[in-house]
Amino acid sequence: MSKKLVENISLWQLAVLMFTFEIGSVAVVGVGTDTKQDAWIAVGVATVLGAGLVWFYVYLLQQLPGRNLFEMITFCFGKWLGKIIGLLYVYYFLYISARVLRDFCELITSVIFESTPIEVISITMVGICAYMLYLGLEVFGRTGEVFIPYVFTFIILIGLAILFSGEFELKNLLPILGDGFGPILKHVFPRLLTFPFGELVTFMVIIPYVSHFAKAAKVSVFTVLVSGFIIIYGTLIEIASLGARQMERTVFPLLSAAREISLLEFIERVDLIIVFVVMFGIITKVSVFLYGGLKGLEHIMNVPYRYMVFPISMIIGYIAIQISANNAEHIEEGIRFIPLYMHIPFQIIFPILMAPLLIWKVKKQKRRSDANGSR
Amino acid sequence: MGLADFLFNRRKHKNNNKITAEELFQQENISKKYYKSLEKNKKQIQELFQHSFDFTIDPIKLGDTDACVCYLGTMLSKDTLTNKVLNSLHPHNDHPRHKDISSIRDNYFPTVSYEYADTFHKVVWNVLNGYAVIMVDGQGKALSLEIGNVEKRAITEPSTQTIIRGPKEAFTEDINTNISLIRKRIRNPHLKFESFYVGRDTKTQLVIGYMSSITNADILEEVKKRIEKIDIGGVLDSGNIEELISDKSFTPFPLIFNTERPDSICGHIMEGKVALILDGSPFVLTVPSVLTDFFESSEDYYQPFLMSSFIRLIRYISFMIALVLPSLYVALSTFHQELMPTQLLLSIQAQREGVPFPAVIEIFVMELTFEIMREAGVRMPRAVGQTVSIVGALVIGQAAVEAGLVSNVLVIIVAFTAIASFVSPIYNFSISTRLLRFILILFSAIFGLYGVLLFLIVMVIHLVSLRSIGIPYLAAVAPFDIKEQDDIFVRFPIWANRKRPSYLYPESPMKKKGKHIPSPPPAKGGGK
Repeated sequence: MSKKLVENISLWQLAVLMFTFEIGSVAVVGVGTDTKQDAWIAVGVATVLGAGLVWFYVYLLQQLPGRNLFEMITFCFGKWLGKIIGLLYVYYFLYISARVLRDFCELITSVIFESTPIEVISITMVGICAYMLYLGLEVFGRTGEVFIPYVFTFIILIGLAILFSGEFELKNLLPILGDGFGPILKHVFPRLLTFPFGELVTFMVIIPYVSHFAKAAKVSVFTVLVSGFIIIYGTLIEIASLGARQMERTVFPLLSAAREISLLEFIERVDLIIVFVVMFGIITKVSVFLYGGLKGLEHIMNVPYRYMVFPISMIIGYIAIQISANNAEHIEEGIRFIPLYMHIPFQIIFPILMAPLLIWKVKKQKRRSDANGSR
Repeated sequence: MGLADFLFNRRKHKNNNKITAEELFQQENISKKYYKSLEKNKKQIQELFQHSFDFTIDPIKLGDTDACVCYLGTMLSKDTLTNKVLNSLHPHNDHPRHKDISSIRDNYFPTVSYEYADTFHKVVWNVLNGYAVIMVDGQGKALSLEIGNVEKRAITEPSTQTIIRGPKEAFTEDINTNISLIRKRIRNPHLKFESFYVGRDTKTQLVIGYMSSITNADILEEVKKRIEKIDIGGVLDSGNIEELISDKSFTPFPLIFNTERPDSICGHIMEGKVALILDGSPFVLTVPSVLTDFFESSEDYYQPFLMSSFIRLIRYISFMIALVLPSLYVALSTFHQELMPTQLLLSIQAQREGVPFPAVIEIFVMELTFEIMREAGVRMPRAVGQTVSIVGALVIGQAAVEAGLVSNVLVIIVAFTAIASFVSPIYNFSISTRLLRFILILFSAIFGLYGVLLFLIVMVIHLVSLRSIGIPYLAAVAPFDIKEQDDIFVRFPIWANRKRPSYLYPESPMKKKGKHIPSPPPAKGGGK
């Protein structure tokens, strides 16, 4: 059993991973804050576009069933160019994984453990991810299944608790579309589309291992829509409880919203509990990116990825601290540079470049095998 | 089943190459040959059993032929031996002269169950099993007569898994009694019991019981394979077997279910599991087991379903309490005071004012004290039990608080944790929480709530990676199966529960065909 090389996850596990992946760092840093009270509309638009993007990714995978992103790249671009592009993807995945990790480290060190060195959080978190990935994709999927009820319930409960605390001001949502559609569209592309939806490009490494591959497209699109809906819900809560201006200024919007909760004079300061709920989302996200990078390295170097789990993850833990000097720099990078120089090329340009090449090559291969078959 | 093939690498059943007890003797350098000459046989067996006071050879004469009866006096009832065997062989009995061993049996012992032993190994084995073996000069085989009737414990109420409603019988140390307890409940020819012998020195009988019509063939195959692989000097309890055949040893969680309740074992067998019954152990194992099995008591099925669902949820909650409550206290009182309501925080702090230790030391010491008391409570002679409980409760509990060594809240927490840990119906499982609790306290002392969560996530990752005979340990939860949820955290009414657990890949997946919902008879013509 343990000898088998290919591990499978079920459709439900895929959906669970995608869902937690989507809401993982969104729950930490929040989205669409630039569009003020219309953030939820922006998220809605981005969700629809994101679902389309994910459908496109799965469509690409369906051309070559059973092969993951890296194998596909090699197929399209040949051995050496394929390796170079694959290495770029590895770099991208590992870097983003370090960024996500940093998001969480900042959250913990600024909200809970003010005097704890950031390294401690970073190493322990990445250690968990490494342990999970070492045990394999199946274990990863199942772990997601165990935690999804808690993540889901808590996200829903935050909204209800805010509502019952009387902090839910629908007035804050007005005026709807005060500045017209322009700013929203500008915000949706590139920022909202690429984060969190475009990041699902990593799942091109995982989706091929789903046991019912034929249904993967439907499930992925549906999951993206559901998670988009939950993100809209979260954004609505943030706007309604904080107001657009305060939301713009706060670093961790959902957390600030949760601070407003006060029930029965007993349930207070639940923001801490929120932190621990998003922790699992972050673990999923870091692990998915890490898995993407490791699988890429496995493909490039022909070494089972399990050998590289611990060294690479420790490097991630280190990079997460080194990528920026402080939180402000980290966020500024995330807003200004990352979408433009990392997300757009890897999430959109490369796949679009690859699409015609892939379709052409698959057709050629088919024709050849047909010719062989008829001979 | 496609997946089952995949999991178990389906292999057709080989002619089972299990080692019989007779072959085991060969490894011990006991000669196999049974001679025709009585003298040689006698010498051989006397040499083997020398220095054993209970080994007896009674020489007898069958007409003018020499013969002897040999047996272990402690392994059979002497009354039966005299009545059934020795009397009918008595020379005063007037009998025709039989020389042939089968005619001896036909004429002298027509009603005693018997076996022919044509090798010396078989003779030795039969003697060891409490047979009386009759060896006749000039015959190529010996006659072994089953006498049996060694003293054994009566069937009593279970001592570790008590229930309020339901059958009160428990397994005993005698394997035949145990099997009969199962047979009595499942009257079905498909209920099979296959016998194995384990332990080089002890040669203990291990019987696997299963329903051939239900149990998945691959699971059965895997179980047999693991039993055949057992190579050890001796096994004394099913606990040894558990450790020898489980998938992984480095885990605090029990991967194999054990119980002393026949009804519970029958329930498991009917679901498609395999029971392992070891001679001399009142605890019967079932494999494969999943985590949720350890939260199910057989009483759940005898009580109304709403009530048992509630109780089952209580068990899960108390498992969590037993696991995390002390560490939560440490985390909250050391790191996250703001999470506590102000009034509660004030009262806790007021109590802790005079306590000289940090919370983690305090709770560590108290938990350790409790563990010591628990262990003492299990081992000490019954007669001093009262004393220890008084000393424990009064001195450690009350006096420690009054002396200002520990705070009141802490005693409440330790006591509550302890009680919660006893809720688990299977004792094995509650032990695992004991061990984990200490590590968890350490984590929470270092990292606070973050540490608690860190540990819980690692624990869950570990749990989902476990397997029991190849079946995921968290089956039906992860991998999630919505159709199995009728008997996991809650129990649906019995008529609604129509499927056997699909994670066991049973050969016949349905328990029953139709869906009968109990309802009052249809009203006739507009009531009264």
